[in-house]
Amino acid sequence: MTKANKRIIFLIDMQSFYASIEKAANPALRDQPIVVAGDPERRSGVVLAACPIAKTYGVVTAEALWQAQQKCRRLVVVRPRMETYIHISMQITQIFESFTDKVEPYSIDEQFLDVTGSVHLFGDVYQMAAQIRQRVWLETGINCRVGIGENKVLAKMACDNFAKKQEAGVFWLKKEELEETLWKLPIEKLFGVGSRMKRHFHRMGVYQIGQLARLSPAVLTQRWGVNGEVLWRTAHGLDDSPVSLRTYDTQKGIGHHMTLPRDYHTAAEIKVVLLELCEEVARRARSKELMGSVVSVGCRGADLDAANGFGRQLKLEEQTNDATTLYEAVCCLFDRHWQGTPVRSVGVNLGQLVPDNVLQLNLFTDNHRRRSLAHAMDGIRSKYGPDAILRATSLLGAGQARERARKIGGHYK
Amino acid sequence: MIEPEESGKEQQEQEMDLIRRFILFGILFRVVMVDMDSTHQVVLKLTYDSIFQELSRWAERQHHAIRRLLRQRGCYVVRSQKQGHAYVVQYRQRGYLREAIYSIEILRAECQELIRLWVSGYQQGEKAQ
Repeated sequence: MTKANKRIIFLIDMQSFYASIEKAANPALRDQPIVVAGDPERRSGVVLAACPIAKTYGVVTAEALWQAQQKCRRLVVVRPRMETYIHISMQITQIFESFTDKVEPYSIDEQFLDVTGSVHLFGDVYQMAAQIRQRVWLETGINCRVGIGENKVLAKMACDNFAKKQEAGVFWLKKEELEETLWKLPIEKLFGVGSRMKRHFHRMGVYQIGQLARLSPAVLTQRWGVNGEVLWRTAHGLDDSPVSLRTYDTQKGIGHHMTLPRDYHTAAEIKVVLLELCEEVARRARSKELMGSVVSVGCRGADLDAANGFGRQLKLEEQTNDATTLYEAVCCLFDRHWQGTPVRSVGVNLGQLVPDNVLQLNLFTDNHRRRSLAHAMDGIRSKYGPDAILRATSLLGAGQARERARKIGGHYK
Repeated sequence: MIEPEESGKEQQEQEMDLIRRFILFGILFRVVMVDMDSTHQVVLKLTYDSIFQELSRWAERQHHAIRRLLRQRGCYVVRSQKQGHAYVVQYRQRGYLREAIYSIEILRAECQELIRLWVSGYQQGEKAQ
């Protein structure tokens, strides 16, 4: 019996989400190693999802398609269908909502459930987890794993570090047992520790999560500020955040990023893509009735190493959600910081957002007219598709807008 | 000895699977007849109606057999309808109203599997003769 003040949180993760959907939809693929990847016809892109059979050949998510094909000669490559994946993700949310009203999608294939108030209706915690797994399997053909904890951080680590590695697919990570379970794992298994943070910890002589947990939080705060304290709290399984759809209500920035199909060498080519990104950012800001006053630009080279590129930001004189104003600022940043190296990945972000219900009048530009024009273009795009109206530069060889119109989040619809 | 609670859980899981098969066979026997009508729209050298009819009859028999089984267990399908990209089924399970939300794409794939099963069963029967 759980204590009255303890919550029961599930983090449910779908196994090889995209690949599982493709296998369920096409029985002929069920016994074959498959990957869902960029564009099979062009033999380009990265592996978005690999099925368990493909993983036995050493194929891993996010590696280049050609590398995956070298590891497994009979690999079947399936083109992504992002719209379908989004529909199935929403269908799974609906299934979860029949178990509890507190469901928070964390990503397309992971969702948090607070089942504290409803677990008694389904037997005990394990029975409820089993019923959820059974329903998801029967209704979507996807195998899911359940991490259980008394808060979101514990549930997430229970799923990633234990449930995914066990046949049963369910693991309850209890706070009072952390010393025997979580603390024995290497430091990179802690939620929030990536490859860079791992290097920092190794330099400090911290190799296991337990070693981090035994450090004084003051040491970590001194080094990483609030993030250091968050890591210490995570190692101790402390997290008070609620399972709520309102978690992502406050938007801090609106950004778009694009990985280019080849290296772009000239400023003229790169600026075509920057303008397209500014259009997308401005359009999204307008749709959310927001405007921002800080614009940032990021560019990286072919090896996608941050050292071969730059990321800079600029404070605008006034808030905007106008693509042309945004583009002028972006060009200013780009001209100042670009070293002439080839560019493979670009991104534009608009920050410090405020509601766009006020308009700064200007003696020299007709901002009201610009805003009306932008809203008219938005109307055309929402009715006839994002490529219904394009800038002439997008028709140049460097333009990506037409190709992106066929995609969601950079992957095919 | 099986504990009563455990057997109840297993029973519930079996019933969820039966509901799914009931829905699949129900869709299959209707779809096959619709497809048969579609073949009448084109000029063919031969008629394949008997194959379609035989497949549809087989699916319908399975559908009714599963319905009988479900009734014996106190399960009834109350409502089933397409909602966007999903096929939503409400059923009553010993007094509790439950819901199943199937992906239409998956139902289509499973129906295809049932046809493959029927064809292989037919071929096995032929070999036995």
